[in-house]
Amino acid sequence: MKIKYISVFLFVGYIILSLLFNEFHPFSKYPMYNSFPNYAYTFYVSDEQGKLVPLQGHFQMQANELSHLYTTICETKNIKHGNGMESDEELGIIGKEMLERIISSKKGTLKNDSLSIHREYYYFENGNIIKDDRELYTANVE
Amino acid sequence: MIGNSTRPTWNNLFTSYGNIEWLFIKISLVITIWPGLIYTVLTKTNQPYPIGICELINCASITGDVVKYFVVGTLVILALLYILEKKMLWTTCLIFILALIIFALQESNGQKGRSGLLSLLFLAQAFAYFFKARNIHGNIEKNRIQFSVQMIAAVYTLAAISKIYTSGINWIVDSPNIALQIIKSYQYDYINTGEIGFSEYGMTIANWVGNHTLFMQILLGGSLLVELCSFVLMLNKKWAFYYSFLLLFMHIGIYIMLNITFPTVSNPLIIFFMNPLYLIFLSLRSIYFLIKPDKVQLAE
Repeated sequence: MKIKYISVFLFVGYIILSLLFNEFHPFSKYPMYNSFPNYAYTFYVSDEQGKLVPLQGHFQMQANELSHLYTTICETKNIKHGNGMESDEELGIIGKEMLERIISSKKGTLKNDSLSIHREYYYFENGNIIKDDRELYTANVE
Repeated sequence: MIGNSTRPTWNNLFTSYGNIEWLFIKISLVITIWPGLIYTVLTKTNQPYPIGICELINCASITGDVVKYFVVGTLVILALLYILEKKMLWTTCLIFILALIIFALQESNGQKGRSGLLSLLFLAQAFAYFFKARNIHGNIEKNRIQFSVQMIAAVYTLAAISKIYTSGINWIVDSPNIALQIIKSYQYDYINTGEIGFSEYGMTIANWVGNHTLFMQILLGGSLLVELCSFVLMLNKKWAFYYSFLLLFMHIGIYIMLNITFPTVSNPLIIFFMNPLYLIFLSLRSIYFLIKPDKVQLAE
């Protein structure tokens, strides 16, 4: 049986290097949804009355970027995160930095005097989905 | 049989790598990648969370007031050289370097776009042109595509390995928890737009998933298998073409369920394995020669 030669050196090389370097761009293990933990976080911005301020039209950031930002800040500050394990103090630190970045990405002038950032924490308990909405930080809009 | 210069016909679709086919791949890559590169250069002025090469150099230095326009101009010129197949070894190397820095800068702003593949495609092509320059094995028409295919297959394989290593069999067993990810994804749309309907729709899908656990486990198990067997993409063009549809269906299923897309992976998949612009070209060409059967089909 004749075996056809197939070049695979880049395939093998990239896999090996990605497994070795872990997450060092452009090497990655592509860990997206590699587990389904019993929690999910979303983040939103609210006005003085607690009403949601849509990101579109007001800021250059999107909701999924807020989640990435949360993770990045936690990793940078060595804060263990997920499953609601963050302390109130840690959430305040994270929320302050997130809100500063969000406000710095605003489009034009905002009508609000102050904004708040919230974290919605979803998890299963006794077969039911629970939502825990917590305000992380409030800041004045300059 | 792999030919050096091949007529663009349906008969050759799975047996050779033609220049026009390659041209449409290049055009598709430029259309899908360059806007993101230029947007990052024009909007990202710092790197608050440096990752990758940005840990070693200040990637944001390319987005200075004057420098950024020079970088954008360079990107445009490189796009033209790339499409026109000029100085390809240097062109693909420079595109790889610039794309690597710019995408790392994007991720250094906290935006995890998993865009490593996009820059590596050009590194793979640079290898192909380097082999051509050194007269090393194979032919350039095949290698510049096949080497890129290897990178795409590697990404899907890594994703599968990551799932198996992190969760093992629990990735399938814990599928009911995917309902939380579904709620999260549709909540994103609500947070972006303020339209409460997105949030309510997400809850509806999450409840449906919760009531069909076995179906979801079969679906997830199947998608994991499809990712793990992505090496099939490297066997030959025919296998790659049909297998890519399995991966595409997986992406479509993820979009329907989770309302998320991975364009940095799915776009190269579609471009290299389906090449829709080339298929449209072949279709129009066939229609033209049906209408005018007396016309001689000229070689490329």
